[in-house]
Amino acid sequence: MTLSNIVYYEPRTLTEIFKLLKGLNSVRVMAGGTDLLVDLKQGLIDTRNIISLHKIRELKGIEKKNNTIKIGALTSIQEIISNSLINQHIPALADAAKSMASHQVRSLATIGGNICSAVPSADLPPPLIAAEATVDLKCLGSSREVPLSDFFRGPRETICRKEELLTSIFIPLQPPNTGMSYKKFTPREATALAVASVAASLTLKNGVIAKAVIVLGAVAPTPVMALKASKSLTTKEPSEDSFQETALTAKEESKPISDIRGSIWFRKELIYVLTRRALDEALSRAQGKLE
Amino acid sequence: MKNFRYIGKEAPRPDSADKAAGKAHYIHDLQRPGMLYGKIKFSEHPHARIKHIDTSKAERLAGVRAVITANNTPEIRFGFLRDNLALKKDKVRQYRDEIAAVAAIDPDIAEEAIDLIEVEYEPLPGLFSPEEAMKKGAPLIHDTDVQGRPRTDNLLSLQFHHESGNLGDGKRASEYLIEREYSTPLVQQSCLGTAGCIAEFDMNNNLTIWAKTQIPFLAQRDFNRALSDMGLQGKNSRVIVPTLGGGFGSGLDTHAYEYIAILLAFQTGRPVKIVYNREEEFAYLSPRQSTQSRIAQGCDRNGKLTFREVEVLQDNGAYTSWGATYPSVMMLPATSLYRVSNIYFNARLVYTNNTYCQAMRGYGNPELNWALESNMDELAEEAGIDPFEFRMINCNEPGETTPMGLKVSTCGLKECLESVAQKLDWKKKHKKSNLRGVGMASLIHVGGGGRIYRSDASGLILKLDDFGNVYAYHGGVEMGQGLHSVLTLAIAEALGVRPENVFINPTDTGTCPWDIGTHASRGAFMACNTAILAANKLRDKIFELAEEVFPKEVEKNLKKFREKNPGYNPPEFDFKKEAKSDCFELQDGFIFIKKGPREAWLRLELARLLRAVHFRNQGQMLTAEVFYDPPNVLPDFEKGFGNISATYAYGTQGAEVEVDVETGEIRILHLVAAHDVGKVLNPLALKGQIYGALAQGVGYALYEELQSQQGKIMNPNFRDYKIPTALDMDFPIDLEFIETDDSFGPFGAKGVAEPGLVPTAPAIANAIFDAVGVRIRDLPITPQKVLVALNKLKQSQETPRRKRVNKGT
Amino acid sequence: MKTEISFQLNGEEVTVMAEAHYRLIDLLRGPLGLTGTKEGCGEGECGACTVIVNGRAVNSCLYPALEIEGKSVTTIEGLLGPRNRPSILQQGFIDHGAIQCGFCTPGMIMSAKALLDSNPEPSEEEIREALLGNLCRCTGYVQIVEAVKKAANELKRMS
Repeated sequence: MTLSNIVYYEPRTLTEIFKLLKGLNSVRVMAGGTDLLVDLKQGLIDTRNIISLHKIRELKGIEKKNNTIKIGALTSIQEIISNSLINQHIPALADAAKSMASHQVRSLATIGGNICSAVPSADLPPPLIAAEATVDLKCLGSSREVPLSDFFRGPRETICRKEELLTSIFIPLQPPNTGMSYKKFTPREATALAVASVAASLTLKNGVIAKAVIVLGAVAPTPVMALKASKSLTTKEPSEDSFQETALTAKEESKPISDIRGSIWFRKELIYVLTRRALDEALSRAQGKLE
Repeated sequence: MKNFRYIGKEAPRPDSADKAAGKAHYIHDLQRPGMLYGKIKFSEHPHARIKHIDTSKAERLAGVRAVITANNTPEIRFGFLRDNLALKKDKVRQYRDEIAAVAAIDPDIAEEAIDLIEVEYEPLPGLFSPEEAMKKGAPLIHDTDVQGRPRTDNLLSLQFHHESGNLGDGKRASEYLIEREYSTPLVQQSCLGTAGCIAEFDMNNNLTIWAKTQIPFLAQRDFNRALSDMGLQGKNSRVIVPTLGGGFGSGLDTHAYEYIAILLAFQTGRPVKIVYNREEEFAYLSPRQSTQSRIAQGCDRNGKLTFREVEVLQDNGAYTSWGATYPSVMMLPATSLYRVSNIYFNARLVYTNNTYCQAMRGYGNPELNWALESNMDELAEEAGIDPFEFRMINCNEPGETTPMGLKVSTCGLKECLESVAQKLDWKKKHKKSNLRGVGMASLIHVGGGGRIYRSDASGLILKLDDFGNVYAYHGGVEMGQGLHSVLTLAIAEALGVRPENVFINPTDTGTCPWDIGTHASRGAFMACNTAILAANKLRDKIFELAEEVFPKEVEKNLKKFREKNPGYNPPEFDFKKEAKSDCFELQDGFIFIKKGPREAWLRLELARLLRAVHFRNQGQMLTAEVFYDPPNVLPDFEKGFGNISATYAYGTQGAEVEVDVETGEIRILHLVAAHDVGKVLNPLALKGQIYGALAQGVGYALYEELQSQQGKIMNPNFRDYKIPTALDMDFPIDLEFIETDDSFGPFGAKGVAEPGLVPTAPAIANAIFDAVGVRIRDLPITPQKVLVALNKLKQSQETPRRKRVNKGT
Repeated sequence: MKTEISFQLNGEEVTVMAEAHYRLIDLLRGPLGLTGTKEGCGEGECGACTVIVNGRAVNSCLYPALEIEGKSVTTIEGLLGPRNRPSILQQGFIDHGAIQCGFCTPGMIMSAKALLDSNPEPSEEEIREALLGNLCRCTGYVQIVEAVKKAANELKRMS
């Protein structure tokens, strides 16, 4: 494949995109471009056509409608970090965004790209799943909204069909007394990929946990909900003991692999620690003790 | 100590403005008319026979100008033992072996052409550790040596050995004794500017090569030999060094890619550029060697060291570079760091099918220092002696001759140790068991050149022009360390001109005198010594000429001065009588009479003198040249004896760390680096050297490891090969420079380029032990290793520490 | 497939041809001849290629060339004042020993500039945070951070 033969499209409307996606065979959608150009240059992917999204304004931006926050797929990581709606309603998502890469990359990379590249260690999916986010998948003449927790199939594999485009992410406003947290472990202070990560969401009602969601990152082919661990907390009073027990359950539920970034044993230990720390922070936020 | 005008004062580097403006030109930025782009096809097996290479598709690709393999080019042998080939013929011995190369009109086409080359292999069993490679009956990686004699095992023939005193006596005299094994990983130099060159032939078949090298003159020798191998006997190569994006030892050998560029340039008759991308730099350039060491040491009940036994096993990889001589430097700490008699040192190097290795900053010293200084703490713990006190008891002193025969002219180790203890608040913080700990480690390194070759010399030519400018031609290499900064100051200081009138010419074997290379922390030591010698010569000439010129010109000065200042009464001073060559002084470009009054007219601008002696019948222009070979000797490495350097650099570093016992994460809270530098030449540049070395030391300690699986590099990128960022280095760093004013050092200075990273890792490891009681003996100290060790410790003792340290993630 | 694109480069309108797989750095270092922007990794990990696009620091090795149409780009060459004078920030790097091999320097300065443009009085933490995407192998960052602090003070004094 010769790179100079690649055809580049800059559609101005969603309909144009959908037509192109339907009509073209070898095609890649480019959001921020931070992965695509590198992969192309290194010969990791092969394509005849590139569809750039950068002229589609409606894919950018964050807004609140009714009880939902809508994030356009083309919204940059930097915008998520600095957006007041995000910081007010789901600070854990801003935390996750802040933990990603460098300023230079955050200005280019997008939330849609971070989700669609479906890397197991991606930072935004765990808090989004913990917040019960859904994604809008559109194509010519139809549209479907699916929970993000159902979106991933495996490393670099999603349910998004060839003719479909992920256009936006919806996050329901969290019920009162809900707190969320995202904790990740990296081998170096900055810009590193997660060796393991945990997002936790706690909703309190009359002093007991009405609902808990724990999502694990980088310890399975996709971000996964730790179902048993999440369930084990409901109706319990938040306490160090209950959090510890839950963290142990999460550790058992995780199914990491050993690779150059960490062993199975180490990643499981990390899940235990991170789960506890995420629950501690989520609790503080639910109790209004943070921010 | 003397008062200096420029030496010892903060001065911005002469090259920094261009670098800040993006105007410095690295190999990546250079173009030659008609230039082609070369690209290399590397092996896809760690050990295999090459059955067949099909280049036909690549040759047919539009834009390709040459495709070469060992089958259509002359054989070029290179390397420290000449066991490497520019293009491999029958067999590949490592993943990165060069099999074929192309030259094309643009880099994309070259890349595409490489993918079209098909190679058929017959895989052979691979050997991926020294242990495997040393087993009886292991397959031979090299069947024969360079002379064609059959080899019987995978051990290298190089011998590095030292024995002194009596080990048995030492052991018997030991009240405490400890023996442990340590290891260090493959580490990549990680120059921000990757490797590359441009090779170009003229019509006389002489070669010009712009090379990212630290050894232009040894490279010239290597390239001339290659020209000879190519049938170009008697032809010459000229090596020009562009601005280097870092070196750190990666330029101490010539590389296959350089010979390939030469072959492609000759084949096509056009300039050919090869520049590595980051992945190539990580996977196909030689890293720092991995080592395993066993150290046994003992001490008596007073803490005096009784013996030291050191065995090193070094994974050489598939071929041999200069880096194979790391043990020549390891001998220094092994025999001479702290006072110890009864020593045994032996190093073995083994061929494997791993990537072959080369030099990196410190050159064997960080590897052995890691083991030795960790072991010092372990022995101190065993003996129940405070590690600081233990080091003080055994501290080296000026004037001693060590068991290796090192003549210690000056030694500030004691001051370094004390300074670190004080800055770390050692007495208060050591042994506090609060998840925070302090540790220290010291070093010795060559500080006055390092003779590992027949010559350890360096030349300098100074040329004066009609305007009082000084042009310096020096063979040392500026690779970012600041050589040109200190050379400029040294010339200005020694000669008596302003630094802005000193111009350092680019390093070029066609114009600069010979220099062995920029290694062994010798750059500043050598260059500044040559500067002093050459300046003395030049000044002698100037003052001799001034006997005649000075009185005449000053007379004119006085006349003019009187015209402007009627009634001026000059002081009583017979400048005509006093104008003798030994009475002059040159300062900031003006010639004075030393004891004369400082009247504005009673001085002669150097430029005027130069013009006066140039523009006259039988005129002359001034130059001076020197060739300085330092007072050191080439040691007998098989016996481990010889004063390898004119002087030695010492230092101690200290670390305070905090350990997160739940994740194993290490947080550095404070680093202290105290170094015996002889004399500070330029504080701004010196601080930069040490700060930068510390960051490399922190990387070595905590993050960096080129991960090799079955000979393949698994992390050839900055995503998974972690060098410290600005956030990782976010803690206070105290620097302390001990000035011992060495008599061999220029202005008293010693070499300091490498010492800054040598003891960082053991200082951190010792601090971790102090914090949580676990001892990690293999670098890097990753959170995973710490957590595993903490777990083991917890299992072995029933009272685990339950305190939690929370760190925001 | 080559496409013509126009954009503002260091204050001037430029027009070049680009292909779909080109990155901004390919245009800068290639047809536009601005080699001050360095390529250290080509993967957005080292920051040597940092330039400012519409006020934000970005990796020019990740930026699709064709998307630069109509935007405003500042490179290290654009910081130089009249009569060959370094900017205050560049002078800060020179004066404080923040430069060794210099390969990371242009990118480092561009990241620092983007920071100071949006935050004229950054804390040390904010400076380090802003520079975390710029790797330096030589300096250990201490003098770089000092240089940025001093430049911030100097800029404040002058405004």
